[in-house]
Amino acid sequence: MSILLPVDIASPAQLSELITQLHTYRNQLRDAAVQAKVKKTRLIAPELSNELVNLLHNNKADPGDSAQLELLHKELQKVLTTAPVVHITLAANPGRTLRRQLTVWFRTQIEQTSLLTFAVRSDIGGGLLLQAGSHFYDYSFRDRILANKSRLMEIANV
Amino acid sequence: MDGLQIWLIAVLVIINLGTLMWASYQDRKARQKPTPKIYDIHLEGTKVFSDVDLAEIQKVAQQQLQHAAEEAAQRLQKSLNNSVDQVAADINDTLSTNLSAEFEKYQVSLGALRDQTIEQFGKIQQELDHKRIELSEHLERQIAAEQEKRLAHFDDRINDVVTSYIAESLGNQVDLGAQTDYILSTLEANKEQIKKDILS
Repeated sequence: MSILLPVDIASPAQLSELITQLHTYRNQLRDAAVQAKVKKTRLIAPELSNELVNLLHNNKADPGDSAQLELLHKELQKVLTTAPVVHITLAANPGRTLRRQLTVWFRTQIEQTSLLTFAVRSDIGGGLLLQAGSHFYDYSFRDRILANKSRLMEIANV
Repeated sequence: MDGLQIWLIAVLVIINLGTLMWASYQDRKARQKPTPKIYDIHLEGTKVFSDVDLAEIQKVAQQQLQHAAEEAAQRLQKSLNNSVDQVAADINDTLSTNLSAEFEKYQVSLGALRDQTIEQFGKIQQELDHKRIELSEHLERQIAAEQEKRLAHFDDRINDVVTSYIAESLGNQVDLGAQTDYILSTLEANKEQIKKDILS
């Protein structure tokens, strides 16, 4: 099964939180089902968070189907342990839009289940630093400036 | 001059001295040859020669003796001269032979010494060249290392300067919104490399 993560779930911590929510939801659903059966009343499903709604919607899962939820839970745990994690450092705290843009870019261009973490370092000036496993990429303004030392005076005069 | 030469010269000198002493001895011997004794015989009443005859006879005998002595002296002189010439010739030959041999030995030794000296100088030259090359390489390595060290130090300083400049000039006024296009285009430009590294 190829899982589609919600765009707002970017980091491993967020994914872990989503898994917990799903687990809790499954338990609540089971309890509600038992209660309804005992009391012979209509099943009242527990409330879903926006992230869970998006997750179920993206993966076309039925919120009342315990088997599908179980399968989804297992897949999410698998993603949590196997998905590539990319650490992105920016010059300022990224807003929601930029986080989403970057998450979408990595999940469409690199790997569907990519997980991202974000950090801030103001001394890089701009651009970004990327770290994935043992690989490190410096696409910062600072690196660009240092790569063109001959133009330092020009920059300083500005 | 070695011991053999000294010994030979000493022997020759001894022979020469011996010859001279022998000649001198012969000369003295000839000079001291006892003259015939004259006996005065007084035979009263039996005189064979008269006083006049006796004088004449003595005179003749003396002349003959003198003549014999002169002849002996001449022969001795001749013999001595011959001996001296012979000894001198022998000494010359011996000296000439010895000197030639010694001179040849000297030349051989000198040649060997010259060859050895040339060889030694060659070795010294090679060692000097080797040492010079080593020193030169060592110096070049040191210069390169020092240059690298200074460049690294300069880079560190520049990094610090640029970093502090960026931090001070931009502060908290970084607009990531304005950088979004740059960030996404940079990622797009390096997509294949990032993909390859992340998925490997």
